[in-house]
Amino acid sequence: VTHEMDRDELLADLVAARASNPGMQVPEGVDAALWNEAGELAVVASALRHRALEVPALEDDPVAASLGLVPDARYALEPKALSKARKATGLTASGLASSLNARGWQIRTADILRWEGRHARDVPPALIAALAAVLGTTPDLLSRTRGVATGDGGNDAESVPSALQIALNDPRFALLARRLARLRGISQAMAESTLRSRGLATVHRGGEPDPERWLDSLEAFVGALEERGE
Amino acid sequence: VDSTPAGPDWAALYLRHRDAMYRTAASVLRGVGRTDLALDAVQEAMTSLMASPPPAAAENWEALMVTAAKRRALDIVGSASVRRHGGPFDPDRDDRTVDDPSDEIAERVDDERFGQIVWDKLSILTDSERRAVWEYTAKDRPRQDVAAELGVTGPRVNQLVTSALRKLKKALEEEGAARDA
Repeated sequence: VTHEMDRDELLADLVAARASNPGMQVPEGVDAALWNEAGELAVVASALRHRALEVPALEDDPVAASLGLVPDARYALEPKALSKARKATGLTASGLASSLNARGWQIRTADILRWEGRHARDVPPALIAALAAVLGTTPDLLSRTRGVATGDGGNDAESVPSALQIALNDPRFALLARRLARLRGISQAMAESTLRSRGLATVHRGGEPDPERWLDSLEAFVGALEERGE
Repeated sequence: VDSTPAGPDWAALYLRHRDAMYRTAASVLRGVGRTDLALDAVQEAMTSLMASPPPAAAENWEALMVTAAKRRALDIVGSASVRRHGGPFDPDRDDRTVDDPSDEIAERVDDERFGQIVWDKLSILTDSERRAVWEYTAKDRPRQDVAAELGVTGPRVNQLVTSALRKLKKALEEEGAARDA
């Protein structure tokens, strides 16, 4: 039993070593059978190690925020507007889902029907933009926008630090949103949503929630996009 | 009705492949203990992809995006190494990071799918095996901490881990989903 336990102990150590360093050489005193089994088990261990790497939540991801992937209660899909726009084009719900999927989204017919019912708050601005493109309308016509001072849940007043609320009400924020809107050819409301989400992601990552510095970082973000002509 | 986008819908593509991009970058950066920089690698990868998208529609966006994230992570590893050793940037080493054989790219993409398959198989394990293999092997936590949480000895954790990995390997082989060492 002791021998078995020693062998298991050694095997576990070898598996851990080979999982983190697949190119390692056979250590002295390790027989071929043990080494081969360690290699086979290390493949499984490596897969688990890969799977255990935690992906940050969307709202903590500045790339997702910049791309409009964070649902925003201040820029939410309006169920009736979606239903009306879809019917005006003659597209079925499944046809709309297919068109979105052709653009790279993963949408089911049931999702479209749910959004046209009542539950559309999880639809991010980027998807609203995709819906608008498919339906030949504008994102703003499919959305319900709210002012920055209203608290309405989601990515909103209740989760926004007060220092950032000050920044959101600063005229500089509106000007930055105007620059972004012009650059990307999107509406002022959608640009504000993008900048708000981007700013919040910075805060979630441990950024300094100071209004001026937050606006400076957004200015740098917009400036970089302008420089690249993105 | 316009159902054909003028260019790539980056938001859709990123939403679809960001897990694979992030895990690949984090996996590379784990080697230098800097998984905290994985988001930076992903951000830089997306910035460069969006600035210079492929001329034609990419056949495999996942491979393209994952590779970009991996290269950015390797850039960070390279610069971290320079900082640590205080030496000059080594063009030979850096050139090696740029050459990325297509089979290695495929392997990186496959890591994500294989990881999901193994994850789905965890349900065949006993509770103790699952906790031991997840906390000790997958999350790389200290063995004594895991042993204390499970109320067992350190060597017993090793036994549970070995047993769990053997069961998982067998289940994967039975499904024809095993990978070569």
